[in-house]
Amino acid sequence: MTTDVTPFELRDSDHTDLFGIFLAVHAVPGAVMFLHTTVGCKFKTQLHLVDHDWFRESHNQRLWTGVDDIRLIQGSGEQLLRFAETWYERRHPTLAVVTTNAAVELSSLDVDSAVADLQDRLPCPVILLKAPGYEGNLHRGYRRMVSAVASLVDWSKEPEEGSVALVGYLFDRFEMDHAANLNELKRLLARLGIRLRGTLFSGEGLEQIREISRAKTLLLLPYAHGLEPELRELTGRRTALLDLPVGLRGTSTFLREVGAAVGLDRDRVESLIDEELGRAVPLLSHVSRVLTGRHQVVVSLFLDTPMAASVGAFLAEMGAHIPLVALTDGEEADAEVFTAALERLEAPLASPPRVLEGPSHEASLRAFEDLRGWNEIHVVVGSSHQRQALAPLGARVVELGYPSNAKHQVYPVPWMGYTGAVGLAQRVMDAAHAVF
Amino acid sequence: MDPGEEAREDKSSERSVGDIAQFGCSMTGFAFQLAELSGDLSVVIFGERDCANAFPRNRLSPGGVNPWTVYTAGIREADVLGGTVEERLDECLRAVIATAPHRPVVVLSTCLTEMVGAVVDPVCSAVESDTGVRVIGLRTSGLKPLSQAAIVDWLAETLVKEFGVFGPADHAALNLVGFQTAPHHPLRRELEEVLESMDLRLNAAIPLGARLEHWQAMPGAGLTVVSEKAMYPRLLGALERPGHHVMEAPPPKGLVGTDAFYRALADRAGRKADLEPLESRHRAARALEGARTRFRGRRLAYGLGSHHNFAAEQMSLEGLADLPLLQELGFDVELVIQERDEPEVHDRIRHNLSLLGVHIPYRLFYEPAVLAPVLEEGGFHVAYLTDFLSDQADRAGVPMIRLGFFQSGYWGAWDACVKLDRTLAGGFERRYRRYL
Repeated sequence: MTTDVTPFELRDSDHTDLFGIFLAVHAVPGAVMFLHTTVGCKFKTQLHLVDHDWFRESHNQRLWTGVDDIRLIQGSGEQLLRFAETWYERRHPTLAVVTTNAAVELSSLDVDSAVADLQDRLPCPVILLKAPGYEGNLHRGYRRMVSAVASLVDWSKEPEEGSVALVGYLFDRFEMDHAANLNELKRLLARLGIRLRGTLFSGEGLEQIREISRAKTLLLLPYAHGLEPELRELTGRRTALLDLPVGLRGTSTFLREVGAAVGLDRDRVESLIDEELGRAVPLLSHVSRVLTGRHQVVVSLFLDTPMAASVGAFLAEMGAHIPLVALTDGEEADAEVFTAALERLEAPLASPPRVLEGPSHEASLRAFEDLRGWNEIHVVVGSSHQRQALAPLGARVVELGYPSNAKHQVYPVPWMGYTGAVGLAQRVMDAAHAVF
Repeated sequence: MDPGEEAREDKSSERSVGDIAQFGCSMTGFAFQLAELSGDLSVVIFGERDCANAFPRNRLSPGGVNPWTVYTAGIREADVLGGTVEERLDECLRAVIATAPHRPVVVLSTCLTEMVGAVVDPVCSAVESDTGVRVIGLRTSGLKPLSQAAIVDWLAETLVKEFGVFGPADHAALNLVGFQTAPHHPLRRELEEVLESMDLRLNAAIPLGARLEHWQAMPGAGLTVVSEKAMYPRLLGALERPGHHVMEAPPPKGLVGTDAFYRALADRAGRKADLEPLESRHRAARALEGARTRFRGRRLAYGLGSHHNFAAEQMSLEGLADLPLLQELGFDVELVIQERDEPEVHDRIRHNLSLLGVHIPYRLFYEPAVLAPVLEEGGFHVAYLTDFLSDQADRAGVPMIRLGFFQSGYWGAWDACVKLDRTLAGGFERRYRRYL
């Protein structure tokens, strides 16, 4: 028997599918989650978003159906039916997502039939996404919701030439960082003559989302890569698997691959890239001097695998030394995927970083402690968990990704695209100089 | 009978304690509170990994100073199907103890492990016997929601029974239970000053901000002062022994309430309370005198029934501890209660309020999303509400103070005047409201 405590320690993110589904419900105004679980599961949803998203209240998108021991014994399907019908009349949601937990799964054999009844009775689409708390993760839950919503779209419409849809954009809050990211991507695509018909998800309601049926090509970001075969079959559209458009090389690679998928003339794409680099590079050269200057800045990354790869590749381009990468996406954390992405993006790392796959919170702190003997400035790109734990150890933490409970974006600064590269570099440079 | 159930009924007053608030999952309630003891205890959540998300992680290590000592048994589907959940717990406990043999362990069962009939005690006993480390198994879950007050009392009883050091009681030492006495609260310093003037000593203040050492010290005091006896029957039962006395004193709110609190302490201890020389009292008196003129007749909505945070100091007197302060300030207070508009609900509310001696009007709102029109109808100038209702206050154009923000003691009375002045002035939001 093992005495290794690591499997039992908490990770920065221990979310299973439930929170990922909720995050996606939150990203679709007008959608509601009927949380058909026992009462404690209420805390596994909105509580984890309230400090991260200051712009949009999430409490009212989650409705607990009131399951307790008696209803579990008697069968909770009838309770779900009554509750959902009552609350439909009160809220008139455009989409209802029913979720259950393991306790309900074990006892309530009538939930599937209750949901089937609801699908007949309610005027809005009703989706059942079971979410036992022992499997999945935030990204998988989000992906399941992407898949479920994609299945509500009428793909029989004739697609529009030169149009695309973005699938798997992790829209985790209604703040101006995401607005700026999406505008930057729209801007770049428009400069190539490509029309972005919609995004799963981007804070738009179900009716707007349905417009993605006009897209001829689906651009799958890493969080949706696992859906490719399913989406190709469902939609009959072309698909392209892409890395996140972060940093100079990352954005250029993104644009080249989009251009190839859409069938654009290569020179047109290269011309745009050249023009954009001509704008961004002179600005970034100042930052590069800081990262490689007299006081070498050491940057550690505590991010999910796709973000770590894209941000890491960009900061390596800028000359930062990256000794430690903790991939925080739990079961989906994958050092091979991370390394492969770095290679695709031709990240110029002087030496490979130490990569931890889905470490526990404490294990990742221990790894950071190992770096502290170095006499450099420690910048960390990570979440609020790192800010809380590492700032007292002297790290200067750039909050990025989920959760960012202290960093809120009221001014539209992206971290995607070329403009985002400049914005991200600004934040890292500010952290290195400890100025605000 | 469920371990927490008997605490729901307060037979002496015939009031259902904790009734005007959300009922909750006892595992979640324990986790919320035990998170503050991270570093002192190891806490094992005996359930699926997702159950470790039932409390906010930023409570685990405020300021990043304590390790995360909450663990998950990480029950998997295979454990449920294969009947190995107890083996998994055994493995987890031994790993946790091998890592931190100096920490006692608390095991919290969950809906899933309760549903499958997992037997916690024999596992805990076997591990305790083998390792010599105390392992406390608790049958918590969300299958039978309990009042938050009952959960707070259950936890308090458990900690005192398990860790209390029972010896001769010091009659100059007192415990405070259920007040705003965290080390950083201004009441704490003021209180210690007043107690010193009475030759009394603060022995322990629980639960807010208490560490394990404070719980251990509880039985050492000759007097326990409790904000509301009816809320703590189990704790007071655990402390009961010859030479130990219990005194009920409503929280020190406002000038009148604080005078009464300190004088009651002095009377009970046979000391003299000389409060006149206190500068903090003079400052509060001056502030209240002016504030009463400004606030007299202003309509204030006092929210009940929504809070769900297991914060003991916000629960006493059904969450109405701040009412005397607001009435002393001259506000025309009306309650807004999250409840169904049904005859038996009105009967229950009236009954409970009457037993508390509260005879002010109230309005109901059946769910958070429909509070705004209730606030508009009430013609309120300011609202005192649970945090997540802020969007409703914004929608109604009513300035809001977050429930629990008013402090205690003379300092708290002065601070309330400042907070209310600022809130009523409205500042930026009032000036630019038409754009919001």
